[in-house]
Amino acid sequence: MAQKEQLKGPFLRSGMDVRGMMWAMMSCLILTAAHFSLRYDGAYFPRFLLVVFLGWAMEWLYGLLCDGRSVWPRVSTGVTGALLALSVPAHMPLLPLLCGLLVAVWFGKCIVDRSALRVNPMILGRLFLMLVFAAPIQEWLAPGREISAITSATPLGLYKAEGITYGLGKLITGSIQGDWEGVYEMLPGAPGEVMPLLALFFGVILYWMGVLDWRPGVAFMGSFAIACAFLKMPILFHAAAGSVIFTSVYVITDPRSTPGSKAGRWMAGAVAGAITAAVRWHGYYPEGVVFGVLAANLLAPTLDRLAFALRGIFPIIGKKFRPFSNRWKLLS
Amino acid sequence: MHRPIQSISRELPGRPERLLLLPDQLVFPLDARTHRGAVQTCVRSGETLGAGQVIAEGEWQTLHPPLDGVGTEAEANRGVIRPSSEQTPMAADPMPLDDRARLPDYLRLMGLVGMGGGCFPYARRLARLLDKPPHTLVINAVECEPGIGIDESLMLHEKRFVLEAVNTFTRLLGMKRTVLAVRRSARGHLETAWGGEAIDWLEMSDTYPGGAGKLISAKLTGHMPQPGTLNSDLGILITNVASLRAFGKRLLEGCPSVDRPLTLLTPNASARQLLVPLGISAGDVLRTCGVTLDAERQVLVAEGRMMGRAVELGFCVGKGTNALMVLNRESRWERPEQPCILCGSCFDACPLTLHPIGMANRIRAQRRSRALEAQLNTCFLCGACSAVCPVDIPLVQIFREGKQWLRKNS
Repeated sequence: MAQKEQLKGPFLRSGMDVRGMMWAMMSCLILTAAHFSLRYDGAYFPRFLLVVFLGWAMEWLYGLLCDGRSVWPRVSTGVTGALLALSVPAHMPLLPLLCGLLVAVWFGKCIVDRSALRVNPMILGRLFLMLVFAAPIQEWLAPGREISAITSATPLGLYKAEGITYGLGKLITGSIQGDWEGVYEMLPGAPGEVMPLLALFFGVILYWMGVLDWRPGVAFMGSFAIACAFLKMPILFHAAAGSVIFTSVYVITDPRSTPGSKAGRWMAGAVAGAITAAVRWHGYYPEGVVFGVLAANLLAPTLDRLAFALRGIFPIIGKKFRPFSNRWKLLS
Repeated sequence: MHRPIQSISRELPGRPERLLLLPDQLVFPLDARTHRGAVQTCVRSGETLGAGQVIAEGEWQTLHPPLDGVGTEAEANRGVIRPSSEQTPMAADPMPLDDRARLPDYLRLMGLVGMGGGCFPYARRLARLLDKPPHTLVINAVECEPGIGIDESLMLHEKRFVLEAVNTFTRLLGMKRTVLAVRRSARGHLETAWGGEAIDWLEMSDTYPGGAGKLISAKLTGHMPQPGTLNSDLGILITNVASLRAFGKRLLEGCPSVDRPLTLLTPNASARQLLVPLGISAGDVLRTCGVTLDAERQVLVAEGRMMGRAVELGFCVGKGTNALMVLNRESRWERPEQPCILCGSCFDACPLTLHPIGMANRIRAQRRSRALEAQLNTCFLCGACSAVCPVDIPLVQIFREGKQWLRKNS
């Protein structure tokens, strides 16, 4: 009888539970790593799995040291490890990578996640690497690999150095190889960003499964494109090169670090996109997503509060109220 | 992607079956909360009562037993009647109504309340409207709670009563327009019965909560009503089909509100539409229908999956009980709440585009603000946000408590 009293309605639940959502995302990231491994570097996949398992081990260790109990690690920690492994060079030395992972898991997942601060743990780890291990995180060449060119560059690095845009078709399909004028050997970037089409495909799948919200990703891409146009940068090249699409699918959509409200998500995506474009235009680093997403994350509580407060001033936004959108009609 | 809860019924609801049984007792709650106002019993212990006789009355409504019996001492805010072994059928004399001024009293004496679940007395509702009568009557036949089909069944099989009630309302209040709000998927078969009537059709979505009064008036007017605005302020009177049927039955047969049409839903069986005497226990209903409840694996839910609650077999059918459902237990219902991951599913699910988790956090922290008040007053506790929450935060329970907290501190 006591059990029955605890039952709370509604007695009809829809959608996935949080564990299912995280496993769905994890599966997409594993497939992305497998794709990179098959196409570019067979040794990458075991390394990727190692980073993921070490991330889980770190969380378990944190629980043991700080809470004095053995806690089963969360799937989301695995997602953090996978995202980090996919957004740094494939051959980055393991020690700096593990330092970044430690920051991501211990600070990002175990400390910041419990506080009111909202920062994507992977971004925190990557920021740490950019600040402390600035050289290894930009070293795209495999150690000991023989090259016939003077140096190597990713498409984004080539643009930063020479102002040259790499072929769009090659960028989209991830066919980045050969050299440029015998000066630069062209290398794919981080494993997660080499094939934007794949990231986009997984984004659609995750959205269809109810894991992702489309708003922050679309706002990110939209504001990035507008900022690129305003700064007279080639829009399509910048959208396809680097981790813009990877970020719009996996990073800016992270629910824990972006605003919860719809209006907040639009605004956060827009802020991140604009800052990313600005950093690419005039920053030291060729890629700017870390700074863009970090700014959006730090603004998240403010944006949520703003969106909530606006409902007190404008109780019902929009003059014409349409309770059921076309999407709902199609579904029914 | 948020997937709305569908309320499409796969099969046509059957004719309502009158539940014939002689229970041990009929129980009527007498608390002010249930009846939206104080009611006093007027029965002495041991007094012999006839079916339809007044047993309790208040400023806005009265209660009547559906069967002959003997009254017992009112105890703990409830009145108990022991039905007699021999019953005489109620006389079916029409009680027409031609005087508009008499309408609230007529409704009070028959004990009519909003049978969609709100149980708001019609007498109180109509008394407010006499000075400024509404121009549009909306028959709310949108049954958005998944699995319930009683309103549709009444529309198809008890049309006579519903139509009489509609005609009386429109005549007495001088309404210019009658609108029949239906689910899109139900329009086809309702048109076969109602196609020839001079009414406008309003198609609502097949998703939950398409039948909410606020959404109906929003679709009708094109504007969402501002917080604190009643539908009657917009000149709209939205009435539930079961209430109209009860009113029609009083007009045509003189019978007060003594039975409750409801849907009985059991696992692995088609839904049954029943006419159940008021005050009867859910256990009696299940027993009469040959349904057994396995308390370990099943749960009895009254008033729908979304807005209803788990009840015991001793639960008594009241005027707001539109469904009894025997559901197989799901582990998810008993799962403890986890910290919010801010996934935004509740924002997507809210039909009023409110900020559910923002409201919940502020209620728990007791941080009152203008925005919170506006949103809480707008929320009608449909539970769509709770249904989609991946970490099982009991949002709708928090909002219910929040509304009480606001009321207490206002």
